[in-house]
Amino acid sequence: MLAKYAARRLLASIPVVFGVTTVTFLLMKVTAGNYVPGLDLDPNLRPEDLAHIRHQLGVDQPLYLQYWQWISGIFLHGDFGRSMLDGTPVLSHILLRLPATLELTLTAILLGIAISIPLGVTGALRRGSRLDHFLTAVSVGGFAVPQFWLGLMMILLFSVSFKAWGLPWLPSGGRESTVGGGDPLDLMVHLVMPATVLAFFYVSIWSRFTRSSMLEILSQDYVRTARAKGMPEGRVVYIHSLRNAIVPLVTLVGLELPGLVAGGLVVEVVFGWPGLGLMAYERAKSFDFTLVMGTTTFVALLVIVGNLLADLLYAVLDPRIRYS
Amino acid sequence: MIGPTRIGEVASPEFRERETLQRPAQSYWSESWERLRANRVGMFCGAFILVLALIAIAAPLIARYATHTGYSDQDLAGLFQPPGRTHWLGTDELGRDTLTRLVYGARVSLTVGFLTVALSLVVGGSVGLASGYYGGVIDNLLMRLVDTLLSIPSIFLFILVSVLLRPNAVTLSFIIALVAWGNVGRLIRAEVLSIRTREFMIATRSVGAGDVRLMLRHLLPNALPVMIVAASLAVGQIILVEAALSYLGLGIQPPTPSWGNMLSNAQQYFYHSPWLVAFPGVCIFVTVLCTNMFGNAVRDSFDPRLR
Amino acid sequence: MRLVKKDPGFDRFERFLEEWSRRDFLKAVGMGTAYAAFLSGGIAALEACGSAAGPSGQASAKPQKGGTLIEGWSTEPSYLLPARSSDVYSNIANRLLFEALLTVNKDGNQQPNFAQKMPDVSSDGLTYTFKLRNDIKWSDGSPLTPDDVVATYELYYDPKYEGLLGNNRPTAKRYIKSATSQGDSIILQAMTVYAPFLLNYGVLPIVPKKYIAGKTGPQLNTDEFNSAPPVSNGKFKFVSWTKGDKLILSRNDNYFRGPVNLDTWVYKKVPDAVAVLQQLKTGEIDVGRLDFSSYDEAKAQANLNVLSFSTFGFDEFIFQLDPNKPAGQIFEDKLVRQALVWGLDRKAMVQAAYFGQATVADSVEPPTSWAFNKDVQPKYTYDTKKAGDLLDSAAWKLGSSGIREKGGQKLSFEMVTNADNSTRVKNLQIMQEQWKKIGVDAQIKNMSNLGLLSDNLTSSRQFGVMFIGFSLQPFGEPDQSGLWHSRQTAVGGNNGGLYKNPAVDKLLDDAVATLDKAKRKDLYVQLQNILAGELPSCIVCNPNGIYGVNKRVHNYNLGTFWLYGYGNSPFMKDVWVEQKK
Repeated sequence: MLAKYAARRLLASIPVVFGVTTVTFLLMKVTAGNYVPGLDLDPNLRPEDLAHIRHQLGVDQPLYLQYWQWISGIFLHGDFGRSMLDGTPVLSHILLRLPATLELTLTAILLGIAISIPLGVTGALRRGSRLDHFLTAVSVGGFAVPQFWLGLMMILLFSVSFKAWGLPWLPSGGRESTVGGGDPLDLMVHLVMPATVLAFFYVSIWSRFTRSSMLEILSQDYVRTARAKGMPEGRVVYIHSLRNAIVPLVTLVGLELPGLVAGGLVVEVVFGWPGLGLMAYERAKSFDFTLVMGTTTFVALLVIVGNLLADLLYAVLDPRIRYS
Repeated sequence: MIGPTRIGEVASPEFRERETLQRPAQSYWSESWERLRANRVGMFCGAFILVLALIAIAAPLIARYATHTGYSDQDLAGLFQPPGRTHWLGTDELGRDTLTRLVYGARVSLTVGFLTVALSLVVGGSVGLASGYYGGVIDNLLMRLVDTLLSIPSIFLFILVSVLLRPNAVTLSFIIALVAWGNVGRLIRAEVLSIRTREFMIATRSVGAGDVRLMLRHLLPNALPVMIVAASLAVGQIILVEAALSYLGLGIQPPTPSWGNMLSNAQQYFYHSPWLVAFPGVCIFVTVLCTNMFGNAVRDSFDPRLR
Repeated sequence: MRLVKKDPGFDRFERFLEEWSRRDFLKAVGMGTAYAAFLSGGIAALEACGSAAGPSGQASAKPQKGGTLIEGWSTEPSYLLPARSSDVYSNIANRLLFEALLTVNKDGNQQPNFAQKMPDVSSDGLTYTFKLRNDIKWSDGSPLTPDDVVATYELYYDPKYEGLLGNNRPTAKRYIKSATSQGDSIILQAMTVYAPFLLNYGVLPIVPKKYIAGKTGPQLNTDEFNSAPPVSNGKFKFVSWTKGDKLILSRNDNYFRGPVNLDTWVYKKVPDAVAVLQQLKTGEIDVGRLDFSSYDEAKAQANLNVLSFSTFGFDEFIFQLDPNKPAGQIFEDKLVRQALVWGLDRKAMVQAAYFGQATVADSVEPPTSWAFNKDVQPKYTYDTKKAGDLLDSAAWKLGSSGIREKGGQKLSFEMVTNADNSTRVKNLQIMQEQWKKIGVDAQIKNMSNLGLLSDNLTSSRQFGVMFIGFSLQPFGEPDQSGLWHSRQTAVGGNNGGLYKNPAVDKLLDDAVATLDKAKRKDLYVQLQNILAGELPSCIVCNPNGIYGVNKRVHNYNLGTFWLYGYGNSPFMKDVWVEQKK
């Protein structure tokens, strides 16, 4: 059954892949069009030269042919185009920057989970207490605070101010120290602030969810039975209830899989984190459209894969879904 | 049913029957409204948004009569003034009044928020209704379209388009709505799917009502609660998107103020003029908070089961 | 009962909606806003209390060997092949890798570098003969020969490299006739007597023949050399370049003047001007160019020295003079241009946008230039009445909307600059406001980056007014043909407003056709007066160069002549850093 479901989802993804590549292709034509940077500026290039160069780049062919080249390039050769600024292959840029982005978002997710669970459990156990209200406020606030603002404030406090006060301080950006960096401690120290800012958003959703999930479970009959039978509270909460509350949380986390690559863009910009998002942003400002669109296509394909995985995850965890 | 009692009626059997009713029957909508009204927190937030909207609409009047300056009037001799008597919230890097700019910024934020949501509801709603109602090929096609749209990372698209078009509040709304309608569409479709199996639909159909009529007269009102809840929550998120785009230098362009670009401009002056960063930030935060709380309250009022 | 599959989207949304607590909103908001207020306001208050600790830079007299210098820039280099690059950022890096026949001292006088002495100039002023030193080596130990020098020069003028992009070739081709070698001599032939010949072409960074020979211009455009030059002849050699992050150079022990003090030099890409200051404060970078708004704050830092010096730069706004464009039709009347300048309070503008770190300009020549005419006439002050009168006399009358009109047309146009330069963006806003007061409607439209702005200036030319900054190049050379000569109105030239004045053309050509400095000055004085009267553009101010340098860095003597974009940064030889224990 699971296999059949998986096959169905896979089949449904194919038109989406075509759709995505068509959209990005068209966008690329519209933005980059026949533009080749620097070419029109050289007054010494004769019209024949321009035509020759354009022919070599293949921009003078009919649209459907170019689309076919685009799509076969991607799936047969892994060729996502070339940068308009320096002619280097887009894929090499992507592969260079992807690990940094994944490092950031995966850490943020793990951090988010690690903070949300205790937060949610505490809120559920001490429901109605001041602590609960405080945690509520933090999570509600977390959802309303602009990420870039939070990032800037953290830099101002933990980097600049701490340094000025002689306290141990966090670096204000980047992935590793410019000189002599690269060791695990250095990497971690650079990761702390950006991952925290990103995790903030997750925490505000997941902690609330864990809390309500726990509340729901704790009021269930089997929990009351366990308590009535004299099971120690710790076991009731942490072993039985929590385990059941985690499962839906996992599916919620699974929702984040598709957004894994693009979700950290603003944080990357604020902290100068050398990931895909920052690259796309800076190249977009430099009008390097082919690179931006190639990256967008790549990320979109990753999103489709991520959605597939998330759906499969659902199906594994909730058998009802496979049967409709 | 409850009306002024007349003396002679007290003893009548009809009156006694009436009096045995526990409470008056009400429609779903007025019930929900009552619940909403009882939710003080939610109402407070809703009122806040309303007041903010009024302030935004009245921006030119405020500029004229309260602060006595326009949002782009510069005072090159009075840069970076702290909050004080003439300028209640101080002045910025070109001597412009912060309060006036915040008020105009509210215009931008709320316009983008509401317009985007409205557009998404219209498009997403239509697609969702059609998709859920017709099913089959149309449903498949439309949902694949939505999947396509939602697979492309929206922030990349926004950046690309903004770099090319340098949008104003209205064009920005269209751009964001282009991506946002997808989720709304899915939501409505799911709601429609659950509604259409109910008996009243089958009954109405059997009477011979046409497709569009069915969709608009019967499906839509029942899908409305979900739409309203989604809308109220989305407004806050869209305000944050606009702020982020303006921060990246790609949203509303100066001299038109938006809370996002005010924040972005002010960061380099943080040390000597922190209020320039504080005020727009607080505005964004509080507005988004209120829309979220209100949306939550609306949701509770429609479906108290989930309390 | 058939289970209806819940659409995952809806399911997720439901979960998402379950997150919110409804109770105690006020507490939540109270917490939230207090929290937010703390974050924004509290930090500043706490900062003020703290004492700025940092290395006090006790200078030990003796330079230390070794260590790393990190420079932070908000734009990274584009091409390391000097002939290919057009931007100053690339020059910052490639001038440390490749040096030239001549260099310049801190007063702007040319000195021999790879050449044994200053070149012999023939009596007709057309032939320059250099004798190459015989002790110059590439970083791999091989000798630098006259063949390398000739090959380098050919990149700039020889037709076999046609198609090599960058803005060097178009002008070089006009002045360099040939470069040949004879024994250890290199003979440069100029096309015509050109006063700035040596200043422009005596300082071309020499690149190795064996890596460029046999390649065409288009091939060189995307060649590996641009990203990873295998050898160098300058103070440093290439180590690595992670694009978007950092470029690392290390000391070249084969440098002909002996190895420099530093071990490593790093060009670090920093997100923006705000981050440059932050990282200077934390010490994550040692040197960075400061935004005008950061001057006071940087001066207050205990760990920084702030360098502020006059440059050859000038910020101006150019009028569109192409009669085929609507803005051109407005500005073709000199009275309108003058009125706009009378109607602009440039002093206030400079104070507000440059924080006092610039001087208001009256002449196209910066005060640092030897051709500067401080008595240039006419001079413009801030006089709105005069502006209004001039516009009235030009038949632009105030309409009912508050905007001036003439023959049904409104005095309305578009202004452009590059959005990533906050000073320029501010300038346009100030101009818009001030011109509103005299009935002029100026719209603002900003291009994303400097590259696009330059494209606009040199080819598309879609603007009414463009705000842009230039610098005299090479430093100390007063020639501005690139901006005002009519031949620069062709596509690719910098005369984007299409200003054409035969008298100005003649002055510009005559002034570079003689080597007599006194005669040249006289011509330039005349030029400045004409341009001040005609106002094809209004020079707003001459901005200072402001740099923050960590106190642990010694001898970092950036200055008016020792600035990037020109010369080989000779001061880098003596720079040393106190190393962290």
